[in-house]
Amino acid sequence: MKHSLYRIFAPLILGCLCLFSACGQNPKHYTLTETSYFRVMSNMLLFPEQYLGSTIKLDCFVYEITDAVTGEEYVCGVRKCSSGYGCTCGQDTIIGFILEYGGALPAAKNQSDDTSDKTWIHIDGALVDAQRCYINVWAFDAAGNPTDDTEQIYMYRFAVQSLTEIDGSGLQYYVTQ
Amino acid sequence: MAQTNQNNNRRNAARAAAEARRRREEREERYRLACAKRRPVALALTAGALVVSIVMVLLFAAKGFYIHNTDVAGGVEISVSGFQAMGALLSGAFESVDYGDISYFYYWAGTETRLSAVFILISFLVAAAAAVVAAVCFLFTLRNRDAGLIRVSVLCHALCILLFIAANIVISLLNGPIISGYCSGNPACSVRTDLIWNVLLALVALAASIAAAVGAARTERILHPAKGETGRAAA
Repeated sequence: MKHSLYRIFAPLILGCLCLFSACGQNPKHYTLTETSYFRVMSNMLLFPEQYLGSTIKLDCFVYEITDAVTGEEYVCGVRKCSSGYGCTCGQDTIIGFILEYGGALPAAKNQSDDTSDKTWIHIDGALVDAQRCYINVWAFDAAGNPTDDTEQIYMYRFAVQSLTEIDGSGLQYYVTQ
Repeated sequence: MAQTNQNNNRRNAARAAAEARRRREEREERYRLACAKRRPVALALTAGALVVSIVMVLLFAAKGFYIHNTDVAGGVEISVSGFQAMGALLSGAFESVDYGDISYFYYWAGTETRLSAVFILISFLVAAAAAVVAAVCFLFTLRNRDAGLIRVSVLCHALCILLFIAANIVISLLNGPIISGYCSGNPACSVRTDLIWNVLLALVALAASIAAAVGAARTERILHPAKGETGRAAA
């Protein structure tokens, strides 16, 4: 009886351990898709260290930000998403990277318009480091009207190794997963 | 005279042995009849305990803990299944994106998230053991074998209930840091778990196991009556 139970339990526990430990093997390279962009980017914002040294590929649109306090300008590769961590204020924000590229970055299109008709690009590259780069942006009230207040968002710097302009139709302008 | 006494003693001993054998055979016959009568009920109870135990284990694929937000469509904002929590714990990769939304919980409530995962793992192991024991009990009952193992099934399911309750309590500790941190104090948010259903299922399995154990004990008493009993207790 004891031997029978051991023969039942041992493979079960070993199998579970193998399954769970195998699941913990993060891939070295990340390709952000329509069903993983928000999830992976959000994770990266919280724990960037695990992504250092990995190649990251993603599609995004070009967005230019000017720091509301310092006036510093940034060219970013982003998508739109909800700002809400437990928030239902309806406020949306952007999620992506500050781009660093040896070549010329394409200009942003329809910058101030809430439209998917943007300059879409496919980029390959890697995080420069895990240092948060804070940017002061103008805040909006619950009705979506701009206010005189600023709030901070943060992004990481992304070293672009290759860049291609692409057709954004079929890609999600607003990501939820 | 001595010879007569000796003969009388031998005859008495033989009569006593025959009587004891007759009583034993009578008890065994009553036991067999009682087992046959009890068998359908025992099968139903052990099968029920087995099915419920399996569902109890499978429920670990449901939401181990999640943020419930009444302002969000569907109510669930971010969630982690029991298996994802266990996977993160065993691999040590709470920060990874591979285990549901556990990284959010870990960022805002690292200690509480680890502790929740530990209790979920222990609960799962005991629940899995309870399911295996329930399966063996069912097989033994099916083959009319000794059902002593049913007592182990009772113990396992009782332990499951205690562990599930403990896991629920530990998961509730996530509320403080998550609501103040992740939810920025939004009163619409709360941390919940689906493991409460495991408690209910474990209670059902425990009740079935106890009923089967009581039936088995009553039948056993026919074969091995306690001092003073005749073994004529109803099966």
